[in-house]
Order: sequence, then structure tokens, then C-alpha cells
Amino acid sequence: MYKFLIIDDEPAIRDVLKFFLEDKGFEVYLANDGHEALSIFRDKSPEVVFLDLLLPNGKTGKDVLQEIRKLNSQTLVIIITGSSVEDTLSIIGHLNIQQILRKPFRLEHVEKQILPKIEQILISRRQGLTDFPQGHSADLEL
Amino acid sequence: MQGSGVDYSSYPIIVVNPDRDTSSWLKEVQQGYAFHIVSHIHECKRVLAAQKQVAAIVFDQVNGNNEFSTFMKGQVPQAEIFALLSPDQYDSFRDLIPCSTSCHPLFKPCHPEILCLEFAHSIERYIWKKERDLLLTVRKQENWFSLMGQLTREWSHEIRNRAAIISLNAEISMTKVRKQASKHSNAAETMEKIIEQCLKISHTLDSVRGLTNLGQNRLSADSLMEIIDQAIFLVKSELPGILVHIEKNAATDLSLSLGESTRLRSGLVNILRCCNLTEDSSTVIVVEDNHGFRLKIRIEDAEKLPFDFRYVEGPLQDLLDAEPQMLDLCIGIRLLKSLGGEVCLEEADADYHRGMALVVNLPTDFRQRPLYSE
Repeated sequence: MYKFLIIDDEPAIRDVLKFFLEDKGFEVYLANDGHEALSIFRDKSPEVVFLDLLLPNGKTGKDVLQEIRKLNSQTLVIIITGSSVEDTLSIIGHLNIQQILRKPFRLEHVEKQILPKIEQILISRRQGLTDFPQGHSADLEL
Repeated sequence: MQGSGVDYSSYPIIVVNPDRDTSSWLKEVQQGYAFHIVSHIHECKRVLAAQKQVAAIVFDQVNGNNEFSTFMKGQVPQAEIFALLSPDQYDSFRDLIPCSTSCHPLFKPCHPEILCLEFAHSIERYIWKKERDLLLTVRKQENWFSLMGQLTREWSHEIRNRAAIISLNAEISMTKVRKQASKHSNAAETMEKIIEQCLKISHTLDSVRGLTNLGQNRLSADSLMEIIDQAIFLVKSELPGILVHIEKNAATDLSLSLGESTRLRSGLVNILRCCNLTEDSSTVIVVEDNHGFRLKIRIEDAEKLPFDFRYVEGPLQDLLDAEPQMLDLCIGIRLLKSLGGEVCLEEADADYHRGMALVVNLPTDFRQRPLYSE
């Protein structure tokens, strides 16, 4: 069972994603801000992080992403954002991410397009078939 | 005699009330300049109203009684003003031309070489002032657009969050309803409509974003080719299914200002977004020829071109019932038109064996500015 961490200051979005992912059999943790997120990340080591870039309480999504990359460069990070791709890429710079999911998005898209690829990558990794590509932010891996 | 060998005839100089001597030296310096000789100040005002780029006004036979003082007390034009003074006025010229005025005294007898130099400097200063004013205006506009862009981005982010909450909850409810008995199928359909509308809000926000993001330069780019690459990259990032090749058949590149590059990139993104570039044969071709730079967006199958130019000039709300990509197209075309560019459909030619190409004619004045190289 893979562990997901959802970091978003909007409880309605966190709760829906939690409901949806738990329904698929994943273990899901929620964080409202960057501090909480990093604490959970250190404690639970999730394989996948859904990260909003605009977060309250002084730690931005980019700060969180930087910390996550220092702690574990292999974590799959999906940015969930209300901003444009252009703005998102300019914010995260060269930090490695796997996908940008723009709000509003369909759970159907997550189910059919994103989750199968996440599982594929994680299974391959467990079997030692592929290394995690050390791309740049523009290389949307999924 | 010609002023510095440069043709300044686009910047007229008005000479008011010239005496015989002045008229004779005017003939000597006439080449390279455009003089308007007038007898009275009211004629000078008429020329000023008719001619947009008057660089200098030369007053001859200035004395305390004529209309000169009244003119100088009134609204002084942007042109530089000179007064030609005779030897008997040397001692008292400050009475005629107080320091507080922006008039420069020139003392007779005037040597034509010196006059040429004065006129050339005046015109150069005039051009410089005009360019400075233009730059300041553009910067003010860009600051305004930048503020608009910033506010729109923040609001857009908020609207997207709300739309996401509505659509995600609707989708969860729809799934639950579908798992239950079929008698609830109407409820599922309603949920589907809610989701569709939320996604339409999102699409509309993307389309109009181009209009309010003109002063923002989130991605830095100095040249036309970089802007084109960025536009294609952004559309590919937004719509991962896109397949498009790019061919650059232009020998040169161009430098663009901040406002131009953001407007051009936004316009191209909007246009490319609506092009349905899912065929393997889709190609964006950059062409440079006698008409300037053109961007041909070629899609193999003409049937798939979604363009309907009827909507381009009309109010945007007319597009509410049209295909969603029409809003992108209209805003993209309007942005490019605001830069001086054009968009049209082109029939297949020797390069295109079948189908049609959407041709973006980039602004013609782009070709007059070569790429700045350090």
C-alpha cells in the first residue's frame, strides 16, 4: 500500500482527495501548511506528495518542495495549483516535479491517467527496473 | 549645405517673420531640412496644429511689441524655440527673452554652419524627448498591465480553487449516485453538468488570462525565436497530448521589448491552444520573407481546423455558445492585432500538399529591429 501526502490549505480539496485515494486503497495523510507537511513527511516517508504551491504560515510550496528534495530525491511530487503552468514553472525553477495538476481537475483524470503511472513507476522501482530520472522541472515524467 | 549629412526633413522647422538676410541664409541651409516660412505667429500656430513633428521654431525680428512675448507666455510647444537677435539687441536681449522662457537666443549675423549645427541638435533633442516620452508611456502602460495581471492571477487562483471544490465534490457525489439505483441517473447527469461548467470556467480563465497578463514576464526571453519556443512549450505543458514539430526557416532573429514579448507569447499560446495539434503532422513553421516574419501553423487535416473568424471582431460574450477554443482564438488574434500582426487561413501551396495552414503574420515593424547582441 503506497502512502500519499496531500498538502493543501483548502480542507474541502484535501478531504475529497483523501476520500478518493483511500477508496482506491492508498494510505493518505493530510497537511494544512508547510510545517505540518514536513513533519509528516519526515515521520511517514510517503512515496507520493500532492503539493499546493500557495500555503499559509510562512512556508511556501516551493520551500516544502526544496526540503522534500533534500530529504528524498525519489519522492513523486504532483503539484496541484490554481495557477498557470507558466507561473508554476517559474516558481519552482529547476526543482524536480513529476506533474502539474491544475485546479479544477477531474478525479477521473487522476484515476485513469495519473494513478496508473504512479503505480507503474513505484512497482518498477521496487523491482529495481528503473532509476528515477533526475530531470528538470519541465520534464513532466508522468 | 546639408545638416550633418542626415535627412531631417521629417522634422519641420518653422521660421517666423524672416527678414531679407534670414531668407537668404535659409536658402543655404535648406537642404536636409524642411522649413515652413510664415509671416505671423497665428500662421505659426496653424502649422503647429497641422504638423505633428515640428522640432524647432525660429523667430526673426523679435521686439518687445510683437506677438512673440504673448506666444512665449502661452502654452509652449515641445519644439525648441530660437530667437534671432540683431546687433542692436545684444545689450537688451534679456528684456526680450527672459531667462524663465525656454527660448534660445541666436545672434546675427548667423553663420549657416552654426545654424545647421543648432538645428541638427534641436532635432536630435526633439527625437530623444519623443522617444523618452514614448518609453515612459509604454512603461506606465506596462506597470498598469502588470498590476492587472497580478490581480487577475490572484483572483483566477481563488476562482479555480472554488471551481475545484465544487467539481470535486460533484464528482464524488456523481460516483456515489451511480453506484446506487438507476432511478437516480438524473442526479448523476446534473452532477456531470456542474463539473462541465466548472471546467468551462477554468478554460475561460485561461483564455482571458492572456489579455491581463501583458506586463508580466514570468519567463524571460529576449528574442522572437525564444518566445515561439516558449509558447509551444507552454501549450505542450498545458495539453500533454499535443504533437507538434517546429521548423525555423528564418535566417535572423529579433529582439523584443517586455510588453511585446509578453503580448506575443500570450497571443501565440491562445492561438496554438485552439489549434487541436494532435496529429503527428502538425507543424509550426517560422518563415522570414519580404513581408517580414510569419508563423505558419500547419495541420494536415483541414477538416479539423476549428476556426470561425466570424467571432473575432464581435463581443466576447457571443462566444459563450461557441466551441470553447473559439474564445482562445479570438483573444489570441486580438492580442496579435494589438501588436500590429494579422492572422489568416492559407490554402495549400507547394509546401502544403493538402489541408490548410493558419498563418500568423507577425508585426511588420518587428523586422526593422535586429537582435541586440552584446
